[in-house]
Amino acid sequence: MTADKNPGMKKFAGLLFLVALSFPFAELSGQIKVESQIDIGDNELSDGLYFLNSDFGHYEQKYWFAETGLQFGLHQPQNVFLNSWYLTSGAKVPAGKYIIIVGLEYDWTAFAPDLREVNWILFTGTSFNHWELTLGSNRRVYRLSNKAAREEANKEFKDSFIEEWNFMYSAGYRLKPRENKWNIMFTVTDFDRFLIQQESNPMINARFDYRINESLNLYSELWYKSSGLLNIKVDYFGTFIRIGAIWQL
Amino acid sequence: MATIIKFGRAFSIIAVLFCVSCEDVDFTGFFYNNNPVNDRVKESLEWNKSSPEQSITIPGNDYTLLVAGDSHVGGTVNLNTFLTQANTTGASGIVIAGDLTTGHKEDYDVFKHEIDTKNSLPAFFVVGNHDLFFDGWNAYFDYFGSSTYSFKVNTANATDLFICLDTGSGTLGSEQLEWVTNLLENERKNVRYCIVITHVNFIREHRTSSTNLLVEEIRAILDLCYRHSIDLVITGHDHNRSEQFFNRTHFLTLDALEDDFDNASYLSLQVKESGLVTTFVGL
Repeated sequence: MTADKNPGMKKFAGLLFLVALSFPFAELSGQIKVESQIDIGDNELSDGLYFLNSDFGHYEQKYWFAETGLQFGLHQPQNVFLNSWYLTSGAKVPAGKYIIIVGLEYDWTAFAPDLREVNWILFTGTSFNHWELTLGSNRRVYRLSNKAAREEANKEFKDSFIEEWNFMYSAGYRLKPRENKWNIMFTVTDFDRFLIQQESNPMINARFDYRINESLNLYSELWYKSSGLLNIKVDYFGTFIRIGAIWQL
Repeated sequence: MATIIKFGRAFSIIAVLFCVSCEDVDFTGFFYNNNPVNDRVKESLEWNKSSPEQSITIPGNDYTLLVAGDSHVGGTVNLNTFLTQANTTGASGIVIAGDLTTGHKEDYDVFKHEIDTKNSLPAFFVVGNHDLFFDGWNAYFDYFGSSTYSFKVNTANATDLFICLDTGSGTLGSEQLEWVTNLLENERKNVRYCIVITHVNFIREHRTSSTNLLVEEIRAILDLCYRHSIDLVITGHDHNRSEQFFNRTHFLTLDALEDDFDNASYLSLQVKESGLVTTFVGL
């Protein structure tokens, strides 16, 4: 398949080109991190516990960073295995004693064998000793898979639609200063690494970090999701536990 | 710590002021739901067992249903206009897609009185978030019974399936999702058109502060719509009409019927052998 014949491939090729542009000045001494995590949870859709595995690669140097992530459904109601992947790249802009991050992300999700969700994301964020703040916006596209779209091609149906832009936010507070060996952080946000809720559906999580040594960090997170908060008729939706490790190579 | 305590005090005072002063919104719903969706659905499914599935029989092949949303009674001017037009224009039934009332018992009384005295057509109701405020679920259930049910329209040559879902607290919940999945798997192949009516919007076609379902549920619903060729999904909640198409499914959001709403309208849904025709009728 060539990029000329497939608009999705064309977009992907364009994205790779953008990411490639981010690296011409990369120093060989940049940091590489790999990360792996397991989610175990229960929600109104899962019919019992679900298990997800996510793996990430992160590269950064003084002014630039790039990250990619993959999520696999080990046990879940959706009949897919590769749930989601993303590619993100951005700049680290010095602002006095702080660093402001500005980035772009492409996020792809297969939520059913024939259905896809794609998000284009623009975000900015910064980190203080105790606070982590991120703001952004995403444009969400729901579409048929390329295979399903080809099968439906002779019918007069729309094979995709775009939602209006959505406001993304995350505000987290650490109990201890950032460099502490252990930490607990509480966050309110409408997004996770592979999932972006509508802005009117905030999620909360508590995270515990423990640094084993300079190159290995362990963490666990507890997430709670409710529905209908801004309908002013709140209801439980789900909770999950995340356990993960970050290795700095 | 002192800042947190001050913030907590200020928040409590504001919350109490809201709770005391606002007659239309029940701010306790930010924190607590004494009738969560899975409980409501269990009550509804029990109610369905003791009540035969409702149906409308049409002598010909084509028919019209009038569908409104967000009447928010107290006020009844627009509701009366809607009922008058429904009962004088040859419609076969009416549907109101949630937020029938403000949730207050006295407003339920007014709404029920208007329906009982000014409507002679088969009438179907969906529960909305406002209907659940102020313990409104008890009044809804007493007057209308189930909030999760289906009804059929039988024409000379075909049967159409209408599914009414409870999204009053922004989620379908596991019980309702299982029910609707089973219903579609068993019934969809036997009917001509399948139309879903609920209150909270599934997809967001324009910028709005209205709450949608969580993305995980929207994905599950899109999958159901795709696999079972749902023809039309009608929602209220946002008070601003919008339309979106995805594969075979037409997603349509209604204007509000509420009195004093600038663009109040209802939907005329003409069901024909050749397809579904939707027309907004302004008030």
